[in-house]
Amino acid sequence: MNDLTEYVTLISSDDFSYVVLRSTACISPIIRRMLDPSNGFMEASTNTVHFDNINGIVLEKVCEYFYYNEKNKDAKDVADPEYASTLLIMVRKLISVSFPTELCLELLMAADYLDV
Amino acid sequence: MRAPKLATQRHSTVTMPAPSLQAVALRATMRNITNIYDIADMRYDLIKPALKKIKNPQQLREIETNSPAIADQTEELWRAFIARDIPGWKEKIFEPVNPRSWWKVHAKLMRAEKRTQEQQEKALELALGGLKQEREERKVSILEKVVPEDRKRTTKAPALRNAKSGNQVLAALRAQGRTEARHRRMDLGHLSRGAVAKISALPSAKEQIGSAPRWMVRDLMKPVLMAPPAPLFGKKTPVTAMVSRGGPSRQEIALRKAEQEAKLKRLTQARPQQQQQQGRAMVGTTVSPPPAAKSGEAMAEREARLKGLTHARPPQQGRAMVGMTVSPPPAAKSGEAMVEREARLKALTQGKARPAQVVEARPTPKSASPPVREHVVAKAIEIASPDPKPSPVLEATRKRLAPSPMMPLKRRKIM
Repeated sequence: MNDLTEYVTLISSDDFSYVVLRSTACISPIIRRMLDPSNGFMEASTNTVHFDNINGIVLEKVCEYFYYNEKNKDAKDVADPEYASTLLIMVRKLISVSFPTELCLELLMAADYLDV
Repeated sequence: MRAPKLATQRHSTVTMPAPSLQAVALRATMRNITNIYDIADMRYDLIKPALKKIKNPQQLREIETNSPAIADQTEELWRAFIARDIPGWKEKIFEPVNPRSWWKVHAKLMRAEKRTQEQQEKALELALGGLKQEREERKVSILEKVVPEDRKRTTKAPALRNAKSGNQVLAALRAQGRTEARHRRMDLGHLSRGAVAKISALPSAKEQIGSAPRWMVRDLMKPVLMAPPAPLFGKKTPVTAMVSRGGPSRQEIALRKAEQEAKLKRLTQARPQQQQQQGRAMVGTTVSPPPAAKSGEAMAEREARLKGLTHARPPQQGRAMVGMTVSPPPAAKSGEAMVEREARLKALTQGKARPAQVVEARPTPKSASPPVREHVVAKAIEIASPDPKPSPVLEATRKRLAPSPMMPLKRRKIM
């Protein structure tokens, strides 16, 4: 089973599953290690990672960030207006006022956990 | 991780590394730190930047209470608070025994600071208050109503001829009218308020007089002589007559006069003027020489007065009788006195004139006291009730008086 799927599934504590590109999920070193078959984790065989300490809403935000990050990684030229705008939107989305207070704390905790 | 910068902000084309999720989340947390009161089991270094944003030490204390894991490491935060809140903290700050009690240090220092502040405020208030008082004292306030002037002090209106302006003329006329009104009131017998008050304060005249004055009594005790009625105002005035001294004694003078009178009466007995004789006889019988020493002229005058009085009431013989009965003879009665009295009584009752006999048998001055007494009592009774025909002297004096008893004779201000 060396064939690595393109998408992986991230499951939150309250059983929300998010299917994301493997590349995006692997921005987080923790997830990459978990999904690496050489480490012998169970998640590698199933291509799903279960997070008991992260709830659905926070995990959604995390996935959003994964994508945002990957986009950022790809763009090397800031001058690209498209990217810049994309970046702004992404940042604004994440750091938007509608961000609930509890969420930011939990997000912080998740981010710390995932070392993202 | 550097914070992402907007593309528009930078001129150079430099790759902008995407902010980490931690950063993003942290930034969000920092923005919402006021709503955070519990961190649960988060690491201190994760939220330290966010905690640094706390403005209220109480919130920090709350977070510490809810998440005790943080409490051990909040020293620097508390130090920051102390430095911010307490002036001169470098000298005052002290390390607590327990590193968890940094919040206590802060609280203690805060209390001390508050106390000193209060003291300073009080001192300032006192200083300012004193200044305020001084300012209030020196303040000049405008009074809307001035103290009313004393009416009595108003300047007098000038006389009409001295008036220089129209107002003065009016004032002078008004003053004239006032004085005239006052005079008119006085004529009617009205008194000013002050005068009424003063007069009412005086003791009333009725209360004063209890008995006849002594001089009057003495005066009346001196008997009227038998001498013919001398003119009321002779050559010698009554005053000078009273003053004259020396010469024969008064008793001798009186005796002499009585003898003269008796002679005259004998001569005039034949005349048909019986009533007159009667009156005179009456006078002669009832009167005896006065015991006190006085000149003859004065006695004559008194005699005349008494005659005038007795003339008025020949029919009122009863009075004399009453007087006689009332008066007891104090002196030892000699035979002559008794005889004399009997004779007198007869004369009075019968209305016949027997003055000479009675008079010639003149008794001693002592025995004369009874008739004097009687006479005095008669006079006293007379005084009590006013006569219908007052003597001319009295009449003259009465006329001098003003129409009202309290009325001043001269128009002057009653103060």
